[in-house]
Amino acid sequence: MKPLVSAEIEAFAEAHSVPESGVCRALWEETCRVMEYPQMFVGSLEGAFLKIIAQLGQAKHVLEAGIFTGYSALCLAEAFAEDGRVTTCEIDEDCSRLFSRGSCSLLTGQEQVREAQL
Amino acid sequence: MKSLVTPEIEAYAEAHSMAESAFCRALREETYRRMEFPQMLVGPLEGAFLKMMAQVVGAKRVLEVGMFTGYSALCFAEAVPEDGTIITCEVDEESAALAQEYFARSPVGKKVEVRMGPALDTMQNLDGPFDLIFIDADKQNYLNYFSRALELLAPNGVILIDNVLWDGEVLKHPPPDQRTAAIQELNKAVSSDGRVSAVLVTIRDGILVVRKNG
Repeated sequence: MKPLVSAEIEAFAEAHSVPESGVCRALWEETCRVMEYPQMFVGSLEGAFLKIIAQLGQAKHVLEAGIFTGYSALCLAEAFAEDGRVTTCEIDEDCSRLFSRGSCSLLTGQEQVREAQL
Repeated sequence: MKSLVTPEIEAYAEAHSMAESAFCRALREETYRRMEFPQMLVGPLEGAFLKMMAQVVGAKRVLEVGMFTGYSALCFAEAVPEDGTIITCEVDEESAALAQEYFARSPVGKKVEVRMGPALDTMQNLDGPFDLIFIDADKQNYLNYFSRALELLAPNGVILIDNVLWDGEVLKHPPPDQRTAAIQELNKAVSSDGRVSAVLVTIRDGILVVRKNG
């Protein structure tokens, strides 16, 4: 999927938005290594947008339909204060396994992964 | 100002976003008939985004820096509750006269209070907090407006800064003119300011969405 604006504008916007966390970056790199369609991942600009919208809406409980490898779930989890929670749904076991293996130890315990058929 | 996406994509996005009100539409059409630079008006897609941001933060008190003919102020007035208020700053009498005609006709126009004069002076004399502050005035003062806006912002409020991609001119080094330089400086200062988090959204001419770190 190519961005609808030029690559230079996309990069400029990314460079002037809140950067992704170290954990998110590591998850992205691993997604590129092991997944067949890493472009399904939302990327740092959209991740930053999801995060700020969650913060501005003072979200406490987020529902995500489609986790892929967990990047957006992680962005949303980072947006919260201590008592926030993300419930996320995924049908592909490879996806949720990578999310659990790749990042669980680094998470703050706010995430709850549920495998479910949508 | 040309769109950063194709006109077809822009039209598709507009067609699938909440529609502008009849009052906004009439004001937009009249602005295109009467004003020399009607493209300064934000238009239906950005208008819908501004409205939605006001609703997401539950804004009651909005400050606008740079009203032009009142289209965005009217969008905000439509988004805030009955007892919400929009304070908007403008220097140009001709723009303000057109805006006032439409505020008088719109059922939500009474929520809008126009402050004539240089916006920095107006902002100095205002008391916060504001839930949403929209900056869309002379670019050379962008950083000054941002600094004062941050002092006036409510803890969970949002600052929205318009035209931060400036038709793609921000990619040029050295900047071709002072306005481009001012926007580049603003983008750099805000994105590296530890007090806030910012996201540069590539809608229309670029909007910087800024919140205070809590």
